[in-house]
Amino acid sequence: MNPAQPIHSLEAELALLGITGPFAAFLNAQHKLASALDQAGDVLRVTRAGADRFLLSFQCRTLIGSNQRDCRAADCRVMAGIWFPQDYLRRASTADVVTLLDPRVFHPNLRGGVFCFELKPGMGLRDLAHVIYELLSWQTVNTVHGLDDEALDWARANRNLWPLDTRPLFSKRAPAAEKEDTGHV
Amino acid sequence: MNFERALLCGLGNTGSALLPLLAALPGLREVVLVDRDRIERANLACQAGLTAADVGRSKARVHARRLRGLRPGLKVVAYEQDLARIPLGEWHGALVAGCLDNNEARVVLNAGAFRARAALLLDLGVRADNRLARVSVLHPCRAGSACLECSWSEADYSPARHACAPPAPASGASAALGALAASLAMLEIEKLRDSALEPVAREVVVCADSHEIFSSALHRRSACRFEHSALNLSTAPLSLDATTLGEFFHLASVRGATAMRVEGRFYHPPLSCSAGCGGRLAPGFRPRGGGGVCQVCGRPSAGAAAFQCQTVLAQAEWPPLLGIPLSRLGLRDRDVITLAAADGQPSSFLITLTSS
Ligand SMILES: [Zn+2]
Ligand SMILES: [Zn+2]
Repeated sequence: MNPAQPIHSLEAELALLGITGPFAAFLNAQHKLASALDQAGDVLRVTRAGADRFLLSFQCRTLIGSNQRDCRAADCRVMAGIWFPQDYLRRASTADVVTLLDPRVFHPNLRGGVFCFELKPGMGLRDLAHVIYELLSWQTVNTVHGLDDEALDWARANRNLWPLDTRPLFSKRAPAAEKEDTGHV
Repeated sequence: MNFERALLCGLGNTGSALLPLLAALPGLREVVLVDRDRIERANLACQAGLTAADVGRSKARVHARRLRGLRPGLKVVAYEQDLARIPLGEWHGALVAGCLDNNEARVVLNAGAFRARAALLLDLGVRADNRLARVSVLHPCRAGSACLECSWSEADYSPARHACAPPAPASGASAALGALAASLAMLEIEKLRDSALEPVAREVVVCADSHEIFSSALHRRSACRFEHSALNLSTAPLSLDATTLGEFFHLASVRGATAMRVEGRFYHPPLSCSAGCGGRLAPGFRPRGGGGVCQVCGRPSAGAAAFQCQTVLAQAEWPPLLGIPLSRLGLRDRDVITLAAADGQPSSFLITLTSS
């Protein structure tokens, strides 16, 4: 067997994944968007991790820990993995698309690295980054029902302590506020 | 058209009514039933063929037994699983009937039918509020024919259901409405079987409230979110226990293959045991989020987070896996393996079991 050929272009990588049509256009658009988002402020860094994957890293204040006794607010770098499965334009589940990698964050709408939020199929990187940041910074907390009941109790009992980070995601050099380019019409 | 295999997805209000009609279809040799749910007491009033003793049992298994009773000699396969988890090869060449209650599952149904070239796709639906029964008749093997999603708009693509929200309420449709949709579907199957007319993609809706019937032809739309691509499938008869991955590559003899994937499954690299025993989980192709069994402590262990699963396995990662039998890599009867070559068309292989 020949040694594996290095993959030079996104196009070749998409072909190996068997991705064509509207979804290929979507991923192309996300790769273009990734570099713009990476340079749009101090909070967010975006790295490509494959044709259908990105790493988002947020420098922000959040609550780390796994229970009410050991949780503490801290400024840290939170890493989240984004994977766009092949049928992402048509059906989407938060457990597939967003994985919180590090550190362990305490939040009512998060359990086992999986967030619960309203994910529309085809939601692009910019909107995903906003949703994740608003959860991490405790700007958005669904206190009606949660995934982590202990964190839900904490959120209700300590309403004066959140949000933990009030900065907007794109603090400077914000990218133009045009409608998100999702690559399909 | 003649149908030897049928795939019936969803065994609720419409699916349970379609089952006895399908059972009477001449020429049918095999039926595959899919439903992940168990029977609840509320189902008894609005779903066909159930008794009080069935409450708590798997819908797929209860209806499989019912089908065997209706037509002895028929091969019946039951999947008590989410539709997205069944092997793609189950769609291939089949009469596919979708009796589902949500569009998220319909996306899986539609993609399976077109990618694996089903002989016919019927999608059934009911709406209790104005007593609507619908059947969409689609022809996945006809070039340029409409898919189920071609007529969908943005609003038809539902947001992911909140993991933390209570489950969605039942449709509230009566057994009679489900039976109406099932009859409409079965009549379309009979027409296609009996006539030599050109098959047309079509949607038929009956409104029992207003006594109206609507029918419209469906057309391929280029802005459809589904790419309408079909796999170039050839069958690979083999034994999953006796064939190693290396032997499979040899059998497939695809020149210059650089990556492999298993349709609908994801490669989980070897992972640490989530019970914390220090052991490892065997690598393999598993569903999204699907776990495995620890090789050391034997306890079931959480799978890789979605982000750690791979869609394809590149050639560089093949060597340590070449001596492992396909069954131990998580492959099943009717799974489809696709080999991609850097230059040229991908080749897909539908695994069918040989008795050895
Ligand atoms: Zn379409
Ligand atoms: Zn273990």
